[in-house]
Amino acid sequence: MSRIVSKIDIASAGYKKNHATMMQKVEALQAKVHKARFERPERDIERLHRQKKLTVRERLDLLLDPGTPFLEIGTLVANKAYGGDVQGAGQVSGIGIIYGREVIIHADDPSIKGGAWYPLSVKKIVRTLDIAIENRLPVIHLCDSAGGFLPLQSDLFPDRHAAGRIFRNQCTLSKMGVPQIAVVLGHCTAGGAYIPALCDYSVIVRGNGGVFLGGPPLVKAATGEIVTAEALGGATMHTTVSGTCDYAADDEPHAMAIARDIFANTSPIAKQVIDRTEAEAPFYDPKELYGLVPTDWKTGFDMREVIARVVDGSYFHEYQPDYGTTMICGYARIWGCKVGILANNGVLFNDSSLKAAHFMRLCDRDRTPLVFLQNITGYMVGREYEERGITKDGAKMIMTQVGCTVPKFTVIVGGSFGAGNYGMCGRAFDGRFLWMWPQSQIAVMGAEQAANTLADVKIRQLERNGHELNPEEIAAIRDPVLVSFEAESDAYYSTSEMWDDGILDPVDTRNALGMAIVASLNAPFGDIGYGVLRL
Amino acid sequence: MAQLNFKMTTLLFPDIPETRHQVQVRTDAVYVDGSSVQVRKTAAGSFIGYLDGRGERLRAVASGDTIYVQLRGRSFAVNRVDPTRAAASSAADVPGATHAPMPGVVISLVAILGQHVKKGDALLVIESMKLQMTISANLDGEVAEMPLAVGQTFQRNDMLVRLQNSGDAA
Repeated sequence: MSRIVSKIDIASAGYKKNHATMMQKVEALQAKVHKARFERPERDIERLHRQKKLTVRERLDLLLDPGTPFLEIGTLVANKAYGGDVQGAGQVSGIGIIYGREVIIHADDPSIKGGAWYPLSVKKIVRTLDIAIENRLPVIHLCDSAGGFLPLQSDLFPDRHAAGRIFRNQCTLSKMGVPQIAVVLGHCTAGGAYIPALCDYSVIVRGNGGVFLGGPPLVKAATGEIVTAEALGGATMHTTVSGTCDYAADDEPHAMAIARDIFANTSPIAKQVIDRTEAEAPFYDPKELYGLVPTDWKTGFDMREVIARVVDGSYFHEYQPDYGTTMICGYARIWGCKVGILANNGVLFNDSSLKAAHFMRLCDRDRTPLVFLQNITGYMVGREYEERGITKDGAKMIMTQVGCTVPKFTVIVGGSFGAGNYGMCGRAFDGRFLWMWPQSQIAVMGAEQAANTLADVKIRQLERNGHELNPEEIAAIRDPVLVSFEAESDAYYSTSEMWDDGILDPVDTRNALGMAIVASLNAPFGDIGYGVLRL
Repeated sequence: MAQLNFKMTTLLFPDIPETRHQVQVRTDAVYVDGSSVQVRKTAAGSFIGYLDGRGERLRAVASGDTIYVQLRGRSFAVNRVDPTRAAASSAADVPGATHAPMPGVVISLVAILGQHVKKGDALLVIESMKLQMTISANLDGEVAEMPLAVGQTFQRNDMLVRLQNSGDAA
């Protein structure tokens, strides 16, 4: 492998301008993340402490090994939904370390709407458990939820990937042999009661913890029985009478200590063997990533410069350096793990698509995980390219990508448009993780293209009826489309809807990938096999 | 891993790029283009090389892919040749004319006809598939032809700009 030679001039005006713009974006991201994690009204924190409860972040500090990384997932989910005040959809999710082993956490945040489940909360919990299934990660549930948010019940209850999926995923995990531990820190009512019941182990805190299908008010309404929450489903009853919970804890720190001890007694999962060596920091400073991305997303940039600031030692063996040059393919290491990188350096042509397909099969055969770095406006359009079969060559790339059984990881570094998103392992393609950079964009096409296309259709429609549009009327059709497309192409919109696993500070790209790749090795890769390619 | 990479490599002096030397570090000696040289490390960055039985002290320090060597009071820079990139550089553009890599439209003209430009200078900006690309000079010279105006579309392989060496006949 050879070290990438950077051509970036960090003293140039262009670099400094890009750097300043990206720094603003990164600072805005950090402010949003801080707000979602820590900023709560004083009275809500006081209420928690009065109830002898800790904040969800304090709980994580007690549960996870001190000083170890926590790869948080979907920190800014719901940042553009429900008026923006259901931070993180009232859930904290992420991969942490207990006794040196990876676990994935699903934690209700009682300081956000009492930990109520909104539709996006359910989406986040389901995604968390999907990650657990795909990567065979043991799960710890920190339960403290008011239950489903009833005004939006039709969006969170009945559908295939709605709340029922949480419990379906729990059963799937159990069947796969992946341990789950529930810590009941507040009430688990109705459906939520099944979370501890479906876990292998459960801990419940005396006084605060409660597990019941129907809480006291519902029991009274249904049968007239008057009963306290503690008698109905408290720690003493469940650990001595019903056997629904296994361990009673005196307080939250005690509960976390028990959970850690239980986890220490589960069997470690043997990791998949891949080509792995000692990690080495990139030769080029990852902070220089801030100055690489042009302020105007229409301006291209050399993705090798990004690779050089993400991979071990900035070493990269480039495959087919002179063929299909808009698609960079090659081998590198991240945290010592050999990976195959596919990175966009322009539009996908016939040759770039074929190169990508061939390279992915090489990686899949050699059991080398795939990393996709997206900055893609799409596959080339036009008569010449259609005649050369751009559609079937793109199909080869997609068919091969879906067929690969090695873990796939995607970072949307710049644009992610149209079928380019598909070929480069967009969300629908079951990559293990997908992240976005703060300035990145995602949509079926560019906002201008969409607005012009729609305006064009409308103009022709009206022309057929003999009506000619004046420029104001055209603008009236075009502008609203432009505005809504731009808003919905934004990375914050994507992460609000959980089309990704989070927005990364570019500097964190290497560590997020490294931690995810190592975590992904818990699951067997599966057998090699592909669908039929249209040759 | 860094050490591993230098076990067998190709080196060149940047001022004489056509000469390339194969260097292998083996347990018994260092082999340069097949002949062996005994090298002993005396301290960090200090070595003694034995040539024809005589020891020569030398100091060497690596920075990226360049190795700086001090020998007999003189300094030399030696570059490591990247095997994949060495192949890539042989397939460089034919100097002079630049043809469109794909269909598109001209966004702006940076240079003007007759202007003297240096290799790497921006000549014009094109846009295709929502992406803008700057077409730069591939040699030092004069802009001899730039047939398209701003807003004009072109097909793949259409000539975008042609440079000629300042001394060339038109």
